[in-house]
Amino acid sequence: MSLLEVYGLKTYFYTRRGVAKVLDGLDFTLESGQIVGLVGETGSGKSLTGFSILRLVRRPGRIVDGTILFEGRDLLKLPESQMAALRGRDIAMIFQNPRTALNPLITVGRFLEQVLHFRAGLSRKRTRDEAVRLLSAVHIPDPDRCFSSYPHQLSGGMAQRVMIAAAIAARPKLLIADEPTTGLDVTVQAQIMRLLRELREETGAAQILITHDLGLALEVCDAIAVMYAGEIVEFASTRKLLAIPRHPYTKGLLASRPKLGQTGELPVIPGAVTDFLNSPPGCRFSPRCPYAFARCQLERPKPVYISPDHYAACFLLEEGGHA
Amino acid sequence: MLEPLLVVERLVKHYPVRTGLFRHRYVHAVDGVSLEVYLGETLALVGESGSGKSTLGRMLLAIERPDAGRVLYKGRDLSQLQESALRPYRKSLQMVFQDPMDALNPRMTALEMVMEPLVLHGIARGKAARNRALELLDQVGLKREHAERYPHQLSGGQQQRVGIARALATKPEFVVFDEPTSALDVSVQAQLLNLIRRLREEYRLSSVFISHDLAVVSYLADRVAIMYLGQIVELGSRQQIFENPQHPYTVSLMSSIPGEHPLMPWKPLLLEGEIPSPLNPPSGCRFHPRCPFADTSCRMHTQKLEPIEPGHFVACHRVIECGGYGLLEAMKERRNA
Amino acid sequence: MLRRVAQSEVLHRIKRNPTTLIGLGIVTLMVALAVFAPWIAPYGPLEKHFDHVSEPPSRQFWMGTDQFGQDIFSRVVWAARLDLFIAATAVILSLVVGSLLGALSGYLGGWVDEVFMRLMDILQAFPSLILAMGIAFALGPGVFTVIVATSAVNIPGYARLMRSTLLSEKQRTYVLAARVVGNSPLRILFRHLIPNAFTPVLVNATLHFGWAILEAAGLSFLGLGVAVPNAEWGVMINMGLQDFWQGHWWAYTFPGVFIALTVLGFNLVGDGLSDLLDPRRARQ
Repeated sequence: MSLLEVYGLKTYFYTRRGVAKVLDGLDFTLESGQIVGLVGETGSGKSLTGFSILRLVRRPGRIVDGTILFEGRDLLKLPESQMAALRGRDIAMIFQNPRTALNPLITVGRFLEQVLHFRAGLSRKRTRDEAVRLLSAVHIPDPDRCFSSYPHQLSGGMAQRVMIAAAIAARPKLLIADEPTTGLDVTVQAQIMRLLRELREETGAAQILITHDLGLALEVCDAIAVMYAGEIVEFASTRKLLAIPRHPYTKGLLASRPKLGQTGELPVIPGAVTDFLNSPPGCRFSPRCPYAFARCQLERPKPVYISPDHYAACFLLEEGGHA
Repeated sequence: MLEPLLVVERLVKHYPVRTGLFRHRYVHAVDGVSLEVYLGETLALVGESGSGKSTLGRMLLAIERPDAGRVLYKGRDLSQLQESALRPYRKSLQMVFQDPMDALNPRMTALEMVMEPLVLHGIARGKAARNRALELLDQVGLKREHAERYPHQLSGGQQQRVGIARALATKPEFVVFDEPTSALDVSVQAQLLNLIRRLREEYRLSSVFISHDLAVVSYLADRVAIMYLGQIVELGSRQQIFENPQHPYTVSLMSSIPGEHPLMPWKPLLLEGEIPSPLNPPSGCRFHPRCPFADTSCRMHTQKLEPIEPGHFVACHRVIECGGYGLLEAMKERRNA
Repeated sequence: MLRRVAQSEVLHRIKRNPTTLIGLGIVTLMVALAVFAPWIAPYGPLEKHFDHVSEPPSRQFWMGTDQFGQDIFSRVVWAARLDLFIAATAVILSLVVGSLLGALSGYLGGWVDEVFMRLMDILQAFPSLILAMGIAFALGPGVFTVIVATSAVNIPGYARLMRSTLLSEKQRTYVLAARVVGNSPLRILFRHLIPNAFTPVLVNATLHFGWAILEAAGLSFLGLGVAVPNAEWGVMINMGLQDFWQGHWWAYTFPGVFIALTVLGFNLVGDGLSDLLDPRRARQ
């Protein structure tokens, strides 16, 4: 049994101007101990997917349909109280902009102690030691000093480590990281990524890394789900995605990153992200796809398996050939 | 040997920060930077937060006055001029900003913003200005319908195009690009980088391109200056920096680029710790606390930029000692150990 | 600045806010009374009927008459004109002077700013009505006095508001861009900064309107503003109260109601406007 199985997830936004069907039938599977990247640009719905799994979607958004099986239980059918018990314990999340996610009025130490007491169920006596241990587990150089610091005294990298410490406090089975390194310095980014990988080794927790940085995902993840306009257009192990990308969007993304030593013009994906309110009936990428043909605009392509751990949703694959 | 267009000599900028009721400390934003920008070239300024690259960029355009040092544009020292004397130079010295939305006046249409410099510098008025502005907008890839829109009605990429059109309106000689694509999506970034490259040719621009993203820099730069905590630690041509990086910080920057590095045959150098605060820079070589090769001399003496091959300068005495290749070998050994 | 908000958006927001509609209705009514006073009021403001002195409301005199035999209804309508005019003038005056001074102070900074702000502090240390009274004493009663007193008292508010908005806008990149493009400091202030800092000031003005009416009426009631027996709501209350013990309730109640209603109307509209133009509205 997979750790997380998502079927037919539909999350819509009900706005005055109409219904934005952002996620319209998303399927996704995650195995225990796997690090999967959800990669997409702004508006791809990747963060929304993360929020949907934790049922943190707020009005005017709403999860309309679907099944989210976590260790076999359907999260969407749980009463809120049980869901709340899961959050922070079995499934944890870390966010972008760590400094804003921390309460500015309490010290890091108190914050971690609270988390340990309420989420991990530790007695108050043991929380202090455990908190310091957590801080050093995330490679904070002076854990005692950090313990008594306030969030505004921390650098971005340190604050993110504190968030990670809080997230792993209750030893979650699944960690969802939403753009954890955006805004951090490049060298710090590398450190945080290394930390996340270490965590997987040490705790066996699975991770979903949500990011717009394809390069980052390629570096860290076992497998990558490329998202466009609310759909997973391609899913593959990292190696395969790099070697034989199949979906035109994936190819476009890979090609448009300036690489060291590149000289010619950067290949470009023309146009801009679609408007969810007026999404075409067919493939959502078709307006920008250089290979689009008539069928693409009429029907939504279903995922086609190229190998057991590699699929892409594109009609080009069904024809038997590839772009 | 070409004459440089812009020469910067020992620039220093310290921002006072009040830390107590009467105490002042200083943010050492830029600490003794000397540079030249030659006609027609693009010099990249690469660094992370606290490196001082943005402050340096602003001083190049005389938007900030340095505390010490000179900024010579075609021989004239801009750093000493009054604001009113600087205004005619604004025709030739322009900037494209990092946050596309914030850089546009929310109450002006794209057209109005591009027309403004034309009118201010007496290049065109009325209908002529309008037509020229429309032409510029077209050059940056915006259609007529975008011209009458307000910034909040445009996407990030479109906003940045307006910013570029505005900067190019007066046909400047020198443009500072301050992280123009950092705030944009990857696919939009590619479009804009292509645009910048094309326009750079057409307008024969000399420019300084500020970025933290080495991959982007490798696409656009002729020469690269790596900055750390207000100082330049390495300077060289694009080829020299990317194929033969010498300074440990440069190597670590290159190592931090996620993805494969076809130009780097050695394993990555990952740094410990974080960038110290510019309020309290380390003594001697500012990089020494994080440097795996630091010795006692590094702690005590500041490093000067010394040449290791023509056009390639490094501020690290250990690199110089090893003749430029020894340290690399040492690094290779460390990785394999 | 309403250009920035789509037509449908405006209508929708107003529809969502029934109180704003009510406010709008009241304000429209008062403005109509003021504008069409000559046609609405059956009698002139100082027209006296000596055989109908201090009469309660009747068919002929809908709101009764006062001690001089003047029709209260007509006077209330005529007073709308005067009061709205005074309030409008006072608001515009204090808005223009206050925001200009505040903008300059914030833009120039340094000791100019410090000195100016301390002056504003001093002005604001006085309770506004006391200050207005002081000014009115010095200038002597009259319409002009009321306008000056009411506007002077409110200048610090506008100055502060404009200044603080301006200071935060000054940090924005587009201001730096304007400088790089070649704008002179004066042009930056008037072409870029002030238009963008203006919205909160405008909203404040609409809220201020109601308050200005109250101050004007208050001053006149105290005998420091418009003189008895002119048709002005505050004056009418003053006159009406003189016969309080005779139980001639109509002489002071109706003007009082109109003041209250007008102030309410403007406040509701001001609230609605501030809601509409709130830059922190969530965007779809």
